[in-house]
Amino acid sequence: MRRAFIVTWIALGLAGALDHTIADKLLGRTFDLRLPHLMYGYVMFNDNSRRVPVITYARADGERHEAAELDPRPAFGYARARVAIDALFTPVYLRDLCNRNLVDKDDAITIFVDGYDLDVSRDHPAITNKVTCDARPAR
Amino acid sequence: MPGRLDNLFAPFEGTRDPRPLAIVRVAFFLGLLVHFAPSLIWLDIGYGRGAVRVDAWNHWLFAHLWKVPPGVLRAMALVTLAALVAGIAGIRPLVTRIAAIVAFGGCYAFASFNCIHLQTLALIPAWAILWLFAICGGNPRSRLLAGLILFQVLLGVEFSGIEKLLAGWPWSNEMATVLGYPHGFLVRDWVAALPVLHGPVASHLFTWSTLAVELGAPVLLLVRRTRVAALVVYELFFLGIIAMLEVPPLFYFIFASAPLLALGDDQVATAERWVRARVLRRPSS
Repeated sequence: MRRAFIVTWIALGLAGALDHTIADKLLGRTFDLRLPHLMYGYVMFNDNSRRVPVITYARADGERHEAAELDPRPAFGYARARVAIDALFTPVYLRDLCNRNLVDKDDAITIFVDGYDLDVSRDHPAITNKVTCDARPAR
Repeated sequence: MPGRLDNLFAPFEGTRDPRPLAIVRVAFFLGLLVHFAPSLIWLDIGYGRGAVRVDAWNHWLFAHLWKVPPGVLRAMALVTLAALVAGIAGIRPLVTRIAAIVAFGGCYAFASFNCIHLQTLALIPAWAILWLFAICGGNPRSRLLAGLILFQVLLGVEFSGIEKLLAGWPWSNEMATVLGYPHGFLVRDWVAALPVLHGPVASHLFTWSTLAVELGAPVLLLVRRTRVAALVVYELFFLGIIAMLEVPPLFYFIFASAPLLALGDDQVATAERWVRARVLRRPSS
């Protein structure tokens, strides 16, 4: 019984790993193995985008701060990466972060998404988008 | 034939020195606590009514958990936090088993409720290890538990190397991209500021050493003669990752602690003597 469990666990682990590597390459698709630890494969930085966002915000004084400061929950050692990745995969996240941080009816926040293209420059953004929110009633 | 089979299963049967598994257990549950506690304490932001949510794990839980009354949700968060603390304490094997079951249920439910803020990659091995604690129990002497946790983590490292091979790392110098990221994205400030890391020599070196460690270390850790050297290189590699990249501490807690399980009992005793003599400056008892 114990040995059957060992064999099953190892076989499932290998199946999960092969599902996202060999099966994906050979068959052009992956299989849903249902178990949570087999769902996503073991991907760690294998394909890295050369276009990335750096996210900051400013209030009325115009001084830029890290957007990670808008999220009150500590993320030890990865606060900026958390905001950047969540913003990449969930665009409405920045709008939510902006709205949650308005402190009074006159407050306004602008979140800057500086898009860097490494093929152009790593020192200057290629494009800047803004997310603005305020607590003033809509006209 | 039975002798061969016994040899094959030997790493998973019987008992062993309890210290490596105790270290792994503490590191693992501490990593989970650090990872989940902020969102379970500031509960309304990620799990309150109207929170921006993303579905990444269990769709049924994603679709149903928002209907749970806030009081029940708060109770679930407290029970999950208590289970993680109990896992760190490891008072008795049975308590650790129960803690793992409850922690899996709680962490998985909250991650399914909203995966934003809970980075997916770090959680993949965490689900497997929680299951192993739940199924095998928390006996720190168990070779079965230690062997399967070690298998799970080394499998992840080996296949992340294979994924990189398939993604064309040997020809693309992929680390030039990572090391070239601007201040404020993924790399730590000192990496973004140090010009020597942005040149082709450094990036090729990092690309090839990443491939070498991920593909080689999991195998060499299993060979007695190369184990200690492989362990040192492996630990330096993961220290390098956490020092250079903004990844969740959970990632480091899991991947850096688990290879200690590859050490044999005699190697653990030697390591203990070395630490006592060189670090604590006390004679071994």
